[in-house]
Amino acid sequence: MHEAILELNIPFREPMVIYKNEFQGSGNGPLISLVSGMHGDEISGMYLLSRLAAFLDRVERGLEPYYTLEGTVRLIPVVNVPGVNFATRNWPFDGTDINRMFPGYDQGETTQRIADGILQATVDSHYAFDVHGSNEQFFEIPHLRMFSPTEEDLRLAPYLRCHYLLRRELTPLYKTQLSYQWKESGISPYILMLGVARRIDDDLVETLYQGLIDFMLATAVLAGPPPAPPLQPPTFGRNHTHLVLSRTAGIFRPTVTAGTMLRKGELLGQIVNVLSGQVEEEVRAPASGLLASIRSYPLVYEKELLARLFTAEENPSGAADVWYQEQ
Amino acid sequence: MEQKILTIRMPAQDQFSIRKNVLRASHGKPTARAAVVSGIHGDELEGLYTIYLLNRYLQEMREKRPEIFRGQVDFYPTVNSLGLGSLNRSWPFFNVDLNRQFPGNREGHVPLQAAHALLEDLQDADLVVDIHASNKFLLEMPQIRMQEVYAPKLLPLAEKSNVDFVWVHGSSSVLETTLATNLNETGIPTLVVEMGIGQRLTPAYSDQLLQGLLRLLCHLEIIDLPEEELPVLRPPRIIRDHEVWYFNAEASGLFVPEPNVFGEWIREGDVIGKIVDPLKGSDLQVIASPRDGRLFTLREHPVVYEGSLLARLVLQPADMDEGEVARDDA
Ligand SMILES: [Zn+2]
Repeated sequence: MHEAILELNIPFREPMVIYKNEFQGSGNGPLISLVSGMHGDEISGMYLLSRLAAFLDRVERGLEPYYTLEGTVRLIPVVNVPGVNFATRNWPFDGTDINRMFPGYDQGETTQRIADGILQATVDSHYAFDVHGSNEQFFEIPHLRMFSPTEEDLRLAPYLRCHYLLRRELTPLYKTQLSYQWKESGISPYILMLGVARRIDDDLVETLYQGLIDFMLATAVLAGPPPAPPLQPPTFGRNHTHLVLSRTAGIFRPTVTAGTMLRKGELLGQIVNVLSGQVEEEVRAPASGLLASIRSYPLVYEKELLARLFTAEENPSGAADVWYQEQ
Repeated sequence: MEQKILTIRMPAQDQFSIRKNVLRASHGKPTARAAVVSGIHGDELEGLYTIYLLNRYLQEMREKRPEIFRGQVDFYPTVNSLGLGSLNRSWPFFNVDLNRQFPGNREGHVPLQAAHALLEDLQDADLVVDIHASNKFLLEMPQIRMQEVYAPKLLPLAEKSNVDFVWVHGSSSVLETTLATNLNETGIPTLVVEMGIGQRLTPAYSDQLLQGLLRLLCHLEIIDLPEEELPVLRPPRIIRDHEVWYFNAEASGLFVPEPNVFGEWIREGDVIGKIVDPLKGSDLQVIASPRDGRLFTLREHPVVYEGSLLARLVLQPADMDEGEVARDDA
């Protein structure tokens, strides 16, 4: 069922509409909401939600004989409508990041109204997903982020088939984000970080598509063949984090790819002086562990984040882990 | 004395610094230290000019009447120099709002380092004034904004600042990641001034604030102006959240304010402007005021969306006593 959740008049042209596509089952199961396209350039999430819409449509029409819908699935694939049209992360008119405008205000500025509209349209959910991507400058392998997950969250997380779970404390830093407001409202937010902005990774979308169907089976939103018991993904927090910082400015050339296991001291890449061409720094792994993310935009300042590495053992010097515009 | 609180090398083999200028009494231990900060947002220039005026005034005083200048004043006029030089409100390249990066981090990316360095450098100040200039959309009369929790300490200072309004916000709107919250939280009184508009100068406002800053410096005994030379100040109107009326656009189009409404007393029913549709040649909304009050915020950028803030009115107090009560319970 396509329904407008917010309609806004746009100067000098047709109104802008934010739609939800809602699939209502027998009414016996929980409500799951999925939001993507809050950032106009994060496209994999939008594609993932459109895949789910097609699947649920088939379920509704009886074309997926093994599945029936028990609960309700609410899809909001595009929040930043002009941002999607113009391929910009932020709201194009005043540059605001919609995911820094929550909880929003229904009588306020446009992006406050959008934030309020999205929160109101999802706040009655039992499960809520906000789908994002990493930006072009810093490649992260796909993963799941949660704020102080509960036992139940940890039981369900594996069905999503993410490479790892990043657990974060609910600090004021996230206060203006949708997922924080969900958590404050008693909903466990699942933040999916899906590949890189501005492109679609088909394999990744396929994995998450299957993962979300399993998740819906595990939560009785959907009835059907039981999902295969999944493997618990590695779970990392602030004190498993090792950050690799540049010690000089220049051109960074990585020599490894994200997702690989590194040994302590292994070469990650080099920083080259733009004028002399000399290697100014050899960047090495600070510990043995999973290289979860690596800088992809080549120009770096000094003290910039080049890579994030997670170890199974706790890292006593675990530092702040937010480094750029993310989620 | 010019100093750098942070220098960062950039990829193209160049560098930039956050610079400050320290004016200190020529003799003796400074009585107190005040700091004036501006340019955290790269599109806000009003504070840069205010700092210029105060800087010049104090340097002349220190030279001609050194016995009067007894303390220390630090100026940080261009904190986000990269943004200021490139018409960027945010911190360029990293594209983040510097005033959402505090307390920062010594080992963080550049804006986090900048926040950390600035906060560290202000640690032993007795007073910090952070001057902001709205944004490129809105024109604001000079005002100081503060959170209610800090009002007991800040209100007496704000009343000496020669602004037209002091707006005391309820606690629900606290932003933990601003410079002011981080300083006030550690007991360093920090006043946030909002005045004028982004990307422009309103020199009369800088002149007005200069008088207030001199008064504050006297209060801290940083300067020792004789009574007869002290600027005569207008006491500000103290306003609470419920005393502010917001005009938000009900249509999307081109906003055309009435001439001469900004800063004026508006009566109920007065038209303050309209939103027009150039294609149809029709008026989409004629904005009449539902209340009496003074228009202290006005939109200068004419393109509006439904919901865009057009103006703010501070309501006329029901009677003068109410204003007094409001001050006492601060
Ligand atoms: Zn995002």
